[in-house]
Amino acid sequence: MSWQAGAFIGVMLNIIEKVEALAKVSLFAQLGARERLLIALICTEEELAVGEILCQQGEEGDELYLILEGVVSVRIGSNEESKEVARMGSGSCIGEMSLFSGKPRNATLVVEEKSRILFLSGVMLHELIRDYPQISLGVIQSLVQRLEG
Amino acid sequence: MKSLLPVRKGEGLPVGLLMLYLIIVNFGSASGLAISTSLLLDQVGARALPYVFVAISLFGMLAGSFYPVIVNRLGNRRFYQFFLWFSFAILLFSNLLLRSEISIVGHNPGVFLQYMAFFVLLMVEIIHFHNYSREFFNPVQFKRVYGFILGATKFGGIAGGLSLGPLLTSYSSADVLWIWILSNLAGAIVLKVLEDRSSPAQKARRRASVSLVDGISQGIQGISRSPFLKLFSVLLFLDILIGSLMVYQFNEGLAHSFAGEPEAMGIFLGKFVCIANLVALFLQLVVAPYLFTNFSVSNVALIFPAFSLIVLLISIGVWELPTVALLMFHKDYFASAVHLPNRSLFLNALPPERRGFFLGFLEGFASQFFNLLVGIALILVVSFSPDLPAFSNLFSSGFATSFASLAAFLSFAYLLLLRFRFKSLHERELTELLKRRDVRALRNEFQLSTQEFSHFESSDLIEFFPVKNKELVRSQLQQAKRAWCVEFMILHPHCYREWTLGLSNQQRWDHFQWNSNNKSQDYFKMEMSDQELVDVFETVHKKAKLVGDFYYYVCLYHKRSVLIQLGSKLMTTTPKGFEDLLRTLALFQISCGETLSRGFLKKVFLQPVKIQRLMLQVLKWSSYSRLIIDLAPYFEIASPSIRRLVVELCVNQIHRHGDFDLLIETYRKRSWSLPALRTWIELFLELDSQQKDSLLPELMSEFQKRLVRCTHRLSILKEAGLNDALVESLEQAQEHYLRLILLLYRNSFSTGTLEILERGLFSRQESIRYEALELLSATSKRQLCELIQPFLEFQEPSEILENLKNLPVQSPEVSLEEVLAAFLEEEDDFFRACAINTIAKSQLIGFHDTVEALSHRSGDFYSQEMALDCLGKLVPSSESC
Repeated sequence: MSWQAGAFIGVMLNIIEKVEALAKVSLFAQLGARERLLIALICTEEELAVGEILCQQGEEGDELYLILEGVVSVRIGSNEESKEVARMGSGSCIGEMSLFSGKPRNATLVVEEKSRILFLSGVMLHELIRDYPQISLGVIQSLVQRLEG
Repeated sequence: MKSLLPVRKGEGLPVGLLMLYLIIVNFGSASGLAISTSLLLDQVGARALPYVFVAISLFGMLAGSFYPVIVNRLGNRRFYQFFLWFSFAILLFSNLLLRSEISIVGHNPGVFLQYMAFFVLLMVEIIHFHNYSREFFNPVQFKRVYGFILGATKFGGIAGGLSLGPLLTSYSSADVLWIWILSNLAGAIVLKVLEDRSSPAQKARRRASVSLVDGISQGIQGISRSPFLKLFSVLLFLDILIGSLMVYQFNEGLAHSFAGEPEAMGIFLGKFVCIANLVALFLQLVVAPYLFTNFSVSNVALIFPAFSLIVLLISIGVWELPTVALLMFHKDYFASAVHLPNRSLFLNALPPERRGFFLGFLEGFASQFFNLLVGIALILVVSFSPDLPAFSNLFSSGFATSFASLAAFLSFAYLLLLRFRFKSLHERELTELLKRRDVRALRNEFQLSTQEFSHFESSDLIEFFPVKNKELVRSQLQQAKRAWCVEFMILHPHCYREWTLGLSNQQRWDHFQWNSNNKSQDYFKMEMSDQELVDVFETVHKKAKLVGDFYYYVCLYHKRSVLIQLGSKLMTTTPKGFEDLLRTLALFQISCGETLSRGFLKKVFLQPVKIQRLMLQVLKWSSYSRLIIDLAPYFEIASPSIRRLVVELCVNQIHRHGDFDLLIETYRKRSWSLPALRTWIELFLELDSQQKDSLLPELMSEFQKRLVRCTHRLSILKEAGLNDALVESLEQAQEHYLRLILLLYRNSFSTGTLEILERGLFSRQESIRYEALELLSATSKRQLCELIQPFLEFQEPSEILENLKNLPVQSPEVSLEEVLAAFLEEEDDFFRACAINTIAKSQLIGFHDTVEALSHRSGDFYSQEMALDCLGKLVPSSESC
């Protein structure tokens, strides 16, 4: 393998970087690196162009989005009259609660600047938790801390 | 020198000021004790001592009863100020009485008042200082530094004793007593400074306000309900009985030796106090911490009665001033340095919210009540007993002394026996304490009642179904859907079989029809022969919906023979029907041969966990003798329930085929990752004791080395300023190794205790961790205690390494690069992946060739991907420019 060959690889996060990135998600903050590795294995990473919609207000969704790079606009209201209520930058995490609540999205997420996003599907997380109950313990601890906080 | 002191960073100020306080107060009370004792013995002699003891006990009981009430109202800090000012006032008053000409029945009341004040105030001081100083430290710190702090009492005593002789030759006794009076004021000032400068480490627990009577009744009820406290009270009583007899004896000896010479007795006592304090200081600073850290509380408690026995035997033979001094030293100084601090540690077995109350109640009220009883008994003995003829040195002084010696001797013999019983009770109490906060232990005690269950249909509750209620089982299965029934079948196979056997053919057929596919009617009948069923299988084995019906029919009609007839053909079942096949095999406990077993093993770990579990359950009855070798690679699977099943399976195989050597051979073949090691230990612990004994010491030493090495590596990574996934995983690994080491001791704990202990030790709640440590130290597992404590007490790996006794670092790595290189060569693919990530981040281009080699290594779960990623990121400095 030559030095140059490496230039084609490495744009996306490697598995360990995903493990590190997931530490920023408060829901997984109580989990150890080996447990987060199991979650990292079911995460997907995508690059999104400006204007792409991550999710629509009102639609059902159970995904968590971790913004690795770029800016995402959080909008409320119908398409024509939607109003921006917040902007989320790199390191922000959106949809933690929807992983478990299953409620319709209460905002539309639109990519404002070219972004790289880490996706985690609720369904897959539920499957994972079923097989590895130690993950659910860490998640519960985080939720309890949040409730107490 | 620094390493010899038990004081750590941040503890200096509270430790220093508390010691200063004790030096001042004990400097004063050393002169107080010597002068007030000599004045009292001069005025009334030793024969009046029982009366004084009774009076002291009465006042002590009053003080002990009021203590919790007042502390509750004022709080620990305000109480201490109040107490010191009160001591100042009462001692001043008794000094003024001493100087006056007032006399009651020919004696100065000031002499009695200050003698009694000394003991009553000392009792409150001891209890309260313990409670007060706890506020500034966490339990582990407290256990470590408390003995050291108490060492200051001896410094004060030595200084007081040394200065007493010269002072008494220059001033009158009443004038010298000013030191004692004023020491209380100086002490109050020191404590004020301490409170202003340091914040409490723990919130002082305050109980709901209780009245005096309620407090006493609560205490008595608490003791009567707890076997542990009951026995503790008996010990306390015996301690007091023996202590009082000793006090009587040495006072009698003093009165004989210094009859009519109070000043000489005062000077002797001054010298004695000085020397005794010096020896006690050594005991407190060197011996006591060694004993507390290396032996359990119950074992240390045995030392006092054992030595008492020796001293009493000496006193029976030789009754001279050295014997008196030895008795005094043992009762007052050895006890205060070792026995009493250790005794109070027993109360750590009580829940934290009850600890302070019972410490006050037992050491305050109950001990004074016992003192009173002993005092009255002594009065009766001294007043009404006839003098016995002398037949030894000791017995020459009459019946009272001989009675005292014999009673002390017998009591200590009894006490020794009692200690042995108390040890197990203490351990049990500590386990109960942890259990109280252990969710799993609580859950196990919880039983769903039939009534509660009838309202639930969730399959999650099937595990807890009250199977003994046959009527409920029948009605529930009859009306339940197939999914529920098959779940039930797996969890309660005997109950399910019993139910099906009780059904008539018609009932079975109705149940089957209700729970099967409509198309099934074309293939199945109410009654079918084995051959008919084999033919049906040939037709439906590839049809996902119908094959499920086939297996359910087999279960319902008990057609085990059909499965045996089909044999390896069963593997042709469509993947969707695989789960049903496994359930059926598990229900009939069919022994799979090599072909079926290997066929399952090939598929097992590609399936969802639920099916993996079923498949491993089926393999339990496998006749394939080399199953262990095929299972071993899956020891590191992340799911704990699967690992448990794999262990069960292997144990089963060893018991059936006696393949212990094969097992060891497989273990030694390679170096295993952390999760795999846990599975291995769980497996080894299930083996016969002879097999285990040959393995466990070897494993223990290996894990200790690994733990130290892991900590050493962590310290190098942290020193290099790293804080990434590798550091985090190593921290996690430290905990894993500790858990593994703990697991090796599983068989030395009673059932379930180790699990509770483990959850306690690694609990996120600090107070639970301390309770678990207390239990561990009570179980006398010294090596384990020494190993685990630094990890729970210190954060920094370098500090942990410093405090790991007898475990030198045997790691060849001294730099970051060496540590990373070592990780790249190790078996654990997660560590390797983390190390490659660190190399990429830190741009350590020196690793380029090694990483490139790893990128060609196949069969590695993460490293190949990580290596390729790393090569892309490793840019030579010239290129990056």
